[in-house]
Parts: sequence; structure tokens; C-alpha cells
Amino acid sequence: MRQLHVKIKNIAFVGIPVTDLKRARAFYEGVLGLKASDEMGHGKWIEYAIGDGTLAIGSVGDQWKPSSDGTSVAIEMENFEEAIQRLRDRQVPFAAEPFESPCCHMAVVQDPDGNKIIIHKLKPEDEKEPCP
Amino acid sequence: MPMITNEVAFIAIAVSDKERARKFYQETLELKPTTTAMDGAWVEYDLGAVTIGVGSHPAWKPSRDGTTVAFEVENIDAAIAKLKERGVSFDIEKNETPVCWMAQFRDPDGNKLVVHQRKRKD
Repeated sequence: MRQLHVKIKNIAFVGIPVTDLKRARAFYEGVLGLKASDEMGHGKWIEYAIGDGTLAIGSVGDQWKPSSDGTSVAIEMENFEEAIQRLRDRQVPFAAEPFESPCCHMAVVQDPDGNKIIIHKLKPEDEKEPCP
Repeated sequence: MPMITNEVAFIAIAVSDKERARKFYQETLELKPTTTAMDGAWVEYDLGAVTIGVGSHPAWKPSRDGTTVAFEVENIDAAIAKLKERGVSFDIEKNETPVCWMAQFRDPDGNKLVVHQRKRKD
């Protein structure tokens, strides 16, 4: 039997690096509607509990910089069309316009530091086809 | 009204070589794939309630900066020792905060990853 040693249990958090916390909070809280669940590191680390996951934004200096490439988090929306409209109203930049897969709707937006966030909505079971 | 339901849909990690990434995420990190799609160019790993998707697509590039995933482990010293034994190098060695221990390493594409152990609350 294979011996497991690293023993990853779950995701501790997804961390998004930002350069200006005030501006970032205006986006994550004001535009996306997230509610801060914890604040640490003398206000340089803000956590948002989303279901069983934790999304965090942090401003810790040059060792951790934003990027428009690399890892992205996808957040599940209540109503895809409304979310897209609200993001457009707030002039949030779209890196990918809304598109449809057999099982979901997605679009990619960028936070004020350029980090990409995937706006996601799974289709209801009766409209859903298997993902490719 | 909040726009977001109570759910992180998934976390997507961009890689350039699907076979090298498969070996790393499945053998080095010991994650078990739950879905393999598009001939291995998209592999999902369910961890608790959250899904990680490791994907390879020419329009989507890995990065040494940006968003980072932290994995919760049972024993951070054992996890770090095992990862080092498997050739993983750490660019931030184990450090302590009031609530946790953390160490930072990278996948073969340079994406940052963190092993994390929360301190017990007693």
C-alpha cells in the first residue's frame, strides 16, 4: 500500500496579492459583495470566508506581487447575468467576455491590481451537459 | 445584495506541461484526481469542499507572482521533509505567525504554493 506522507487535508486558503488594500477592499467588498471574516497582520491580511473556502487578500510587499497570469480563483455567482451587469456598471475590466461551456457560464475579470478572477455559474441540472 | 453564493467554484492553476504537472500534483503532492478532462489538459482535485483544477492551455500562462494556494497539512515538519526528499526546494522556509506555520515552495512551472498548518486553538 502506498504510504502517504505529505497528507494534504484541504485548502487552507487562496491568497491574492494586492498593492493597495483600501482600493482592493473597495473591489472585493464594495463590488463583489464579500464580507470580511477576519483581519490579521495589522490589517495587511483580510480574509473572506466563502462556504468552506477562505479567500484572502494580502499586501505584504515585494516578495509577493500581483500578476495577470498564473493561478486564478473562480467564484460561484447567484445570478450570472446580474453579476456581469454589475461588474460592467462598475467599469471592472474584462479579460474574457462572458462565454458558455456545456456545463457553465464564465467570464474573467481583473481586480484593481490586474489579478484575474473567474466569474462562474454552473448551469442547473436540467440544462447541464457533461463538461468536455 | 451579495453577488456571490456561498461557494468558491474552483481554483485554477496554469501549467505548461500536463505530464510534468500530473506527476508533481499526483506523485509529489499526493493529490488524487477526481476528474481528468481534455486528454489530461484539465485535471481536477477535490480537497474538502474546494476543487483545484490544474490546466494547460497556450493562452493561459503560469506565473511566479500572483494568486497562491495554501494547502492545510496534518504535520508541517513531516510534509516539508517529505517534499524536500522528493526534490522540492523551498523559497520561504517554515515560518511562524500567531495563528499558523507556513512554508512556500513552487510547482515545476514556478507557481507559488504554500504548506500551512493552523495552530490548535487551546
